[in-house]
Order: sequence, then structure tokens, then C-alpha cells
Amino acid sequence: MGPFIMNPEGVGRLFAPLGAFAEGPFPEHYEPTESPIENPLHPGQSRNPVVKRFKTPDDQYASPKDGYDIICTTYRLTEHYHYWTKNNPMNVQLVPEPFVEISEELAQEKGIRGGDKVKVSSIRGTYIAKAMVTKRIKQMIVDGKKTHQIGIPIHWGFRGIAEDDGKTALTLTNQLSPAVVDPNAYTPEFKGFLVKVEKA
Amino acid sequence: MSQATLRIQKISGHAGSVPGEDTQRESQVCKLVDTTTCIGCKACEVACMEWNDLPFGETVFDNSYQTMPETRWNYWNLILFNEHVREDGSLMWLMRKNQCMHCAEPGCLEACPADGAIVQYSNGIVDFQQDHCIGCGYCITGCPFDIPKLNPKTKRVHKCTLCTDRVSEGLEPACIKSCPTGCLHFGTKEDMKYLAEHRAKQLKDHSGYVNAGVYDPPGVGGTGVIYVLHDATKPELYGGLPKNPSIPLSVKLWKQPMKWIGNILIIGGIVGTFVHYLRYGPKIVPEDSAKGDS
Amino acid sequence: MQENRVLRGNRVLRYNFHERVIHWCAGLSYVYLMLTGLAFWSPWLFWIAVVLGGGLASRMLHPLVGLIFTASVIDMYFMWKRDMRITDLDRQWTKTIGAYVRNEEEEQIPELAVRAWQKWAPVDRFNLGQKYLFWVMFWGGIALLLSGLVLWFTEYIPWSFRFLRYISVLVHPIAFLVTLGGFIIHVYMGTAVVRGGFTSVIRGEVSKTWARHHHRLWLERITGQDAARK
Repeated sequence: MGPFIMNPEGVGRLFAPLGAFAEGPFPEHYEPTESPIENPLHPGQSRNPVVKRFKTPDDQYASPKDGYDIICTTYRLTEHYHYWTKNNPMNVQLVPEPFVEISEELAQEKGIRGGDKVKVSSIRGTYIAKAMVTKRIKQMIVDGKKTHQIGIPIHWGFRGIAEDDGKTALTLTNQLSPAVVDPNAYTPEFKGFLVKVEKA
Repeated sequence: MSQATLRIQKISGHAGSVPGEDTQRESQVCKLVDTTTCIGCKACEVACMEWNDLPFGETVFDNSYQTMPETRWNYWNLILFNEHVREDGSLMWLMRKNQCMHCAEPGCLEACPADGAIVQYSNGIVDFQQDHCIGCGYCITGCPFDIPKLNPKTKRVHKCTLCTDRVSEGLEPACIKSCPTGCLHFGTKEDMKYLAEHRAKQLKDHSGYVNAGVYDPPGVGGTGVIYVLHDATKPELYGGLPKNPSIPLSVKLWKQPMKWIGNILIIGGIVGTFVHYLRYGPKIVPEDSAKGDS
Repeated sequence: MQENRVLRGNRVLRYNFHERVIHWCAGLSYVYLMLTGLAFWSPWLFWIAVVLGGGLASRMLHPLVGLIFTASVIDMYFMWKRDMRITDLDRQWTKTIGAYVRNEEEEQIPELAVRAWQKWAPVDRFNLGQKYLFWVMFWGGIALLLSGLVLWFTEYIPWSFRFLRYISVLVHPIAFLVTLGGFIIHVYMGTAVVRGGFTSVIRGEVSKTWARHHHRLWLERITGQDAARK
């Protein structure tokens, strides 16, 4: 079975209907808007030329030479769903506090122990949470360079039942991620952008 | 005798025989936990809380996905996580559903001094009857799995009941019903053992886990909860599962030989003093001076 | 022995008020501990706890009364430890234990009465049996206290220290059995065997004759001081 499962004919197309696709139809590789490396296939055009980028003053994009050299990705937990579960005692009991998953190598580099508060910043905003030091995330070698990746669960939002008592507020993961959307489906680039990490 | 009484085969702290002993044909029930297909989603934790209406408790972040360090009086079912690096350097994220093991020879029942506080049904389920519990905590000492937990306010102990209220109505326990991957199974001990051995063989033959096996410790006579482990030679990797659990020796000594010897000594002592008095009588001082005369 | 224990008539003060109060405090608390302890010891005796207010109440009061018992025993320790030291005289007295147990002292055999003083090893305030009881109750009480604390707060002992629970679960009943043995013999001897013993720890007084027969050296010691002051 070939890869072009969405085409009725089951094979790739050289031409696509006007207006149906903003790009393609050939398979291509582009780096995310914020990437630690240049595109290995064609360094002259790393990024997708037709992605939608918003142009407000908050929409800035960084590169490693701005100091943002750690890859950040975001994901979800089974114990929470978006932001509203921060108000449900059962979910809050399962995972009460936001955290950032970092590799043991990165933790050692920055002198971070599990449970320490860390500040993750992208060129757009900051995120403060406790660090989870784990073996499941490993340091990578990308383009011959040691590169770190961290993972941030997206949940918890501004304030939930775990914070009401102290009237403290949390930061939001959305303040880190870029508002860059896929030109066809408008899926945002939430899962690959650059940050820097330090002890809070 | 009512049906309920005859369904009990062992009673803690009970003088005399148990009326329901060996009166039922029921076979032992068993919960099979396949740690190799568990994804740590905690649906079983939530199901247990919801079915038993347990009150919520405080938790804090502790550098792990594990909800809390150990079970509590109001949290009977807990997934224990362990990031284990194998000899070849590969990483395994081990997850084990931890709860009462419902041992065939329960240490908690053996240690309990209160009449009827802990019972074992003919189907093997070990249940705490909190209305008879005196809050002494001996069951905590008797259990080789560190399961019974005391409620500090009411001074009663609590643990997983293997959803005996559901099982006695022909339903499977709440955790089994909620498991999305189907790694939890429920049935008779024979059926679950068969399934477990079959799965362990599958792991050995097809997945390269040469030490895969079933955890059903004989030291406590076998358990009502059995595990399929990737490496049955190292159960301690799975959140500290004891390798060869049994009722602690001191509890066994205390409840069996010491009880007999002590009872003989006590009765012997009392009878001995009576016999001494019959034989030798009291000491007599010539001018009886007890009341100060002479 | 600063206080004057010689009284009017032919009487001496065997036990003063403080000693008697503490003795009964320890004794009665021991009885409660023994009864509830027996209830926890054997399913056949669990009804004792039920009769004494219920299993839960007994379980709650047992350690609290245990603290009262321990406090009394420790007070007794400071009160009597000098008198309870085991001396060479006691070691000599051990040769006469057989006859003592068989109540074959001079009183039973009047012909020996004259030779009695020389034959019988004299005894000070407490004889060796009483001293043994004191030390059994003291060390037993300490063992019961320490093992009892572990059993009382068992849910706070972490899993890695569970060996403390395993040790306590054996030490507590063993210490109980040993002190119970002492208790049975002590109560038997004090009430049935030694006439005047029970009264001495209620009223405090005994006659000089009683004291001369049972604790000659002690009598000489307390009247000797009196004589010195004359």
C-alpha cells in the first residue's frame, strides 16, 4: 500500500486543483519556523514559504543565535483535558501541579533537581513550573551538535482549584508557542519551537 | 445460617471454628494485571475512587507521574512508576497497579486480634469489616505488601475490597471495567493463571523477554491478584514488589507457638499457686502480729 | 531513711503514704493492662475487652494506662532502688529459698526457734524474691513501654523501619508474660502466704514482731537510728 492514501487514485499528483492547496502536492521537508538547524535538504529555504505568520508585535521568531537553543514540544496527559480539568478535584488529585519534563543531561548542565522551579522562555513569553527530571527524554545529536529537548504538558491554565486558596496564578504554555499555522489546515506549530531553560 | 455467614471462610481474632469454613463450592476469584500492556493512564485509579465514593486528598508534585508515594486509607489503588535502565542500556518505563493482593493466607487476618474485623470470603476476597476494627494496626505489621492504611480520625483501616459488592452481584471489579487497554482481567484463579502463563509464554517467544513470568507468590499461599511481569526474576523493579513475600516470621511465632506456650504458662502459674497453697498453706508467725498486737 | 518509721505501741511504718499510693497506682493500672492485654492476646479472651467498654475503647485506653503504669514504675525505681540492690546477703539467702517456699521457717518448727536467728539468713527491707519482682517489673516495664510505643504509633513507622514492628510484636507479649508471672507470684504471696502483707501496703503499719520475723535487719536499722537518737 502506497503513502498517498488520501488520493482516490492512490498515487501522487503533479498538479493540484487551484485553490485546494496552498502548497504541495509534492512531499517536502521543511523545518519549523523556529529550528535549531538549517534545513538539511535545502538550507537556503529552511522554512515553509507559505505558512501563515501573524504580524502583531508579539509575533516574533527566534533562532539559536538569539540564545534560544533548546527545542520545546508540548503534549497532553491522560489525567487532564485542556484547561477545565484544573477545576475538577479528581483530575487535580491525579496530577496537581504543572511541570516541565527535562532530560537528566540538561538537568545536570543547569544544576536542576527534580521538583525545582524552572523558567522556560521563548522569544514571546515565559513559563514557570516545576521540573520533572526523567530518563525518558534524552539529549540528541542534531547536525553534529548536542541538542536538548524539553516537553511541556499544556494543561492547568491560569488558576484552578489547586491555586484558589493561595490566590496564586500560573503561567500558560500558550505564551511560549508560536502563532504559526499550517497554510492548509491552520494547525499551529505548537509542537516544535525554541526556548531557553533556567532555574527560576 | 444465612447465606452471607456461610460465604465467610476465615475470621480474624475468632475463638472457635468458623461456621462457613469449607461449606461453599465457590472457586477463588482472581484479578490479572498484565504490566506489559499497562499504559499508566490511571483510569483504574479513578474508577476505584468513583465506585467507592472515596473523599479526595492532597497531592504534591514529586518528580514522577505517580499520583502519590503509597496507597492511603482513602486511595486504595495506585500505579507505581519506575524508569528502569536495562543492562543493554535500553530504557523501560515500568508500571504496576498496586493494591491489596488478597492473599490466600492473609497476614493481616493472622495478626488481627479483633473478632471479625477481617474476614476472607469463600471466593478468596479479604475484606475489612470496619465496624469490628479496634484500630490497633496489627494488620499493618502482618501485611508483607504494606497495604492496610489507618484513617487517623476514625482509627479504622481501609484497603482495596476487590469490589466484593460488585463481584457478589456477578459484575467485575470497577478497575477491570475501566481499563482501556484490556490489561486487567477478572475471572477464576484457574482461568487467570492460564491466561497469565499464556501471555508470559508469548512474551518469551515473541518479544524477547526471556525472564517473563507470572507473579503468584507461594509464600502467602498464592494471591487473588496476579501479575504478568516482563522480568519475573526481578519483581522489586515494579515499585518494590517483594520477591518472596510471606507472613512475617515474628507474627507467625507470636500467633502460633508463643500463644500456646504463653497460655500453658499462665494457666500453669495460676493452678500452680493454688496447688502450692493447698500443699504448704500460709506462713505463720507465732504471735500473730499482723494487726499490731503483742 | 530520714523519716522516723517507729510508731506508738509495738508498730513500725513499713510503707509511707507516697509508697502506698504509688504501689496501688502501679498495681491497679497493671490489672487493667493485664485484662485488656489478655483480650488482645487471645481470641478466647476478647470478650474481656468488650466487657470493659468495647474493643475500640480498650485499644485506646490500654496505651494511656500503660503510661500511668510506666510512670509509677519509674517513680518506684527512684524511691526504692537503693533498698532493692542485690547484695551478698541476698546471695546467701538463696540457699534458704527451698525452705522459704515450703514455709519451713522457724515458726513452723518451734524447736528450732532458738537456733532460728543463726540458721536463717537475715533479710533487710526487701528479700531477694521481692527484689527480683522489683527488677522484673522495672525492666519489664521499660520493655513494655518501648515496644508499646512502636505498637501504639505503628502507622507512623515507615516501611523501611518495619523491623521495629516485628521486634515489638514479640517483645511486648514476652515482657507481658514475664511481668504476669511476677504479678501472680507477688499477689499470691502478698495476700495468701505472708499474713499481714496486704495490710502493710494498705495501712502501712506492721508490728515489730512481724518485722523481726520477716525483715530483721530492716527493723534493726530503723530502730537503731531511733536508739542512737535516745
